Amino acid sequence: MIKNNILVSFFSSLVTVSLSFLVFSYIHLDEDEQNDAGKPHSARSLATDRLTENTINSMKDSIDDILISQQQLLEKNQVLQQKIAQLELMDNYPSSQTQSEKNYTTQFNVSSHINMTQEEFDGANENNRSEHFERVKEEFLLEQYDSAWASEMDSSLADVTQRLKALDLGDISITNKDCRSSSCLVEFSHQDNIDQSVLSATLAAAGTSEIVLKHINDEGNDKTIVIYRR
Amino acid sequence: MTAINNIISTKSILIITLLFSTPSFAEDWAISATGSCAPVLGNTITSGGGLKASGGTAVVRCPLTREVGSNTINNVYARMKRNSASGADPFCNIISTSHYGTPSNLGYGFATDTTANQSVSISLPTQYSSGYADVSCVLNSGDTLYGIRYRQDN
Repeated sequence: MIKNNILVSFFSSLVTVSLSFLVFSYIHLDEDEQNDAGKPHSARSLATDRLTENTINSMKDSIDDILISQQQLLEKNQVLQQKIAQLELMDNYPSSQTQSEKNYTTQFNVSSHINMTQEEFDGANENNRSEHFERVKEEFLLEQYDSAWASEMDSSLADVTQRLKALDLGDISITNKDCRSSSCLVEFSHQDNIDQSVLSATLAAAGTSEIVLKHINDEGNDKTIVIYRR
Repeated sequence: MTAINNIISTKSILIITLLFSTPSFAEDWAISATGSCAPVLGNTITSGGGLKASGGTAVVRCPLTREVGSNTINNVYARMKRNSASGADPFCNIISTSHYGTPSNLGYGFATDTTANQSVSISLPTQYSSGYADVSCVLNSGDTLYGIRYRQDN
């Protein structure tokens, strides 16, 4: 977070400096033109006029360059802000674990950096995963329907089903599907003894880039709810 | 002169700005499939410097054993070759292993080129956190995974 804040401050400072300089340059340009306006034209040589014109053109080019780089900086700043927002969303999660922390957790069965027992640690993780899923689901529910994409996803999901059969992971079927503008919520019903790690790794569908999923037991039936995101 | 000075200052600031805005990478490394990956489902054979799925679909897991950052991670690529006869696109997932338990958020990329070796860019999941990561690939019969390349911003 500190590194990000420093980066954001740095980029903000650069943007501020660029803006200040831009304003300063325009003011000076204006002043020069005003000073020259009072003199008779004959007092200025043709060469000076050309030099001034070239100088002004160069300045305009430079200002254009600055505007472009300023735009790039603003875009970078926006990307950083998005990353910070993502990090803030994950603030509830245990922060980064170093190798020593990982070893410590394994050796003593205690999460050292947040001073929890392993059970509490796992419980917190489960809650965080569940919260993340619910957040993504809420976003999904706010989306509009997209029949064209739903149709494309039908084909992609048929490939997923075929893949699951080829891997012989047991009886798996899609029991519900709802596609909106950029996400699809799909319910897979399967046996309770399925290897969930392997199942998760095999669910990718063409035309999407990410899945958020949750395993549930619905009145004795094991299901995996998957939200596919474009 | 004031205008010329302004131009010089402008260009200096421009150069400094561009210099600092140029992306650089703190880490850029790769692991080989034959040395770091293993099948968790199905069968693979070593072929041409990679792991090739044989006799059906296989799921191959490659743990990234170096620590990676959540806010700085930039790109993860899988170097692979698709066997055009398999009829389906192989793909690779990435998941952060900082969250213990069942994976709940995975990003992935598909290999669509059927003619040559290719680097598949794996999308990063939004719930990615600092720590360790796993890449797992689903290969159809004849598809080959050569390795994983990881690149991280400063």
